[in-house]
Amino acid sequence: MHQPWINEGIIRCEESIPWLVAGVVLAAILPEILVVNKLLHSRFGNDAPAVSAAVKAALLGLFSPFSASTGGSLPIAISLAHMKCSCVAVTTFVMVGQAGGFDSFILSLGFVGIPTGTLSIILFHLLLISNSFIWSFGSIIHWCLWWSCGVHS
Amino acid sequence: MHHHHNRRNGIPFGVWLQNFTLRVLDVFGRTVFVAFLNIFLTTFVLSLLPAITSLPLSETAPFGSWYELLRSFQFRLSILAACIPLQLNEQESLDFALRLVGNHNITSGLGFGVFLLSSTMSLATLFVLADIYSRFARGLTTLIYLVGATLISTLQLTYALDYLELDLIPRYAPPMLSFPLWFKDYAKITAALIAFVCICKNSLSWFFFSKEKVKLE
Repeated sequence: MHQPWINEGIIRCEESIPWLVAGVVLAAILPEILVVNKLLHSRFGNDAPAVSAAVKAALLGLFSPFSASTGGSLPIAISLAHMKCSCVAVTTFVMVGQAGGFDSFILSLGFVGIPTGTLSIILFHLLLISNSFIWSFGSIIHWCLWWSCGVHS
Repeated sequence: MHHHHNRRNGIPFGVWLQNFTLRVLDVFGRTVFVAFLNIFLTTFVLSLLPAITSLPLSETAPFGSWYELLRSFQFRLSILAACIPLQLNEQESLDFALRLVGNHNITSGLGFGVFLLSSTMSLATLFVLADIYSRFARGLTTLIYLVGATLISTLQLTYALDYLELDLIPRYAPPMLSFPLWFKDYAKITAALIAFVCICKNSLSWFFFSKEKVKLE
């Protein structure tokens, strides 16, 4: 005898399967496309400036239709990490994709009206990019602590 | 880059196909469990929401200062609710935020903060980011920065919305993005096939690994 929430969970899983499959297939194809691979490596690689990478990853997340669902965006994030994209870029893509993607923007406009929806999405993108600043700053502190602990000596 | 080009061109189709299949299995295996676990946990918590949001609370709104906001019970409740690492979709998050606003006289800014936070943090996201970060050898520390930074930023946004006195009133529910029916059917079959191959591959590797271990012993 199934509980109602288990039944609902099964329905939700069924709904998320197409996103998951599409995300997994796209994640597997992305590294095979040489142009995309080169572009991602140069824009989001560890050599690219963190803030610039975060802004571009936020834009990618905003316009990625796969970010509508967790199942769709996470495989792509894994693929980006495989392609040696930086932590900041991957994190910003995941966070923006899930909470501030294009579909979220439309939904927010519908739910809370144009002024609140627009402002919230702009602010949300700004705060996610600011997250990358904080993240970069935090990792510098972490690296300095690690360095000062005498690991290098 | 040149190295990539040569390697890709030099690879026979059979080897390429094998690598591609292994990549599909790897990504699927890393994602599917956390995604489904996340869905089930979210559904379970959502079933408890009516009980949680109908708790009697004192009325203190709107908040005049950061201090009042931070010390309010509503804020703590909202942050607690928002920090539950579950991926609610926009409609569910907003419903939750509206219940908080409606039942507990929470300011709309704070409600919207809950809406954003609850749609950002998810168990699956945390799992996958932890998996990705482990490759960068920074692990838990970076996740703590991420969670901390998101909390601080959401607090700022919440306060800004609260200050601007923007409404949190639902207007209409726009249609969600969806796939055509035929694709949904194919996707289910494909997912079942990938899952089957994934299980077979893992069982086989476990079997061979065990044999190898026995031989070594």
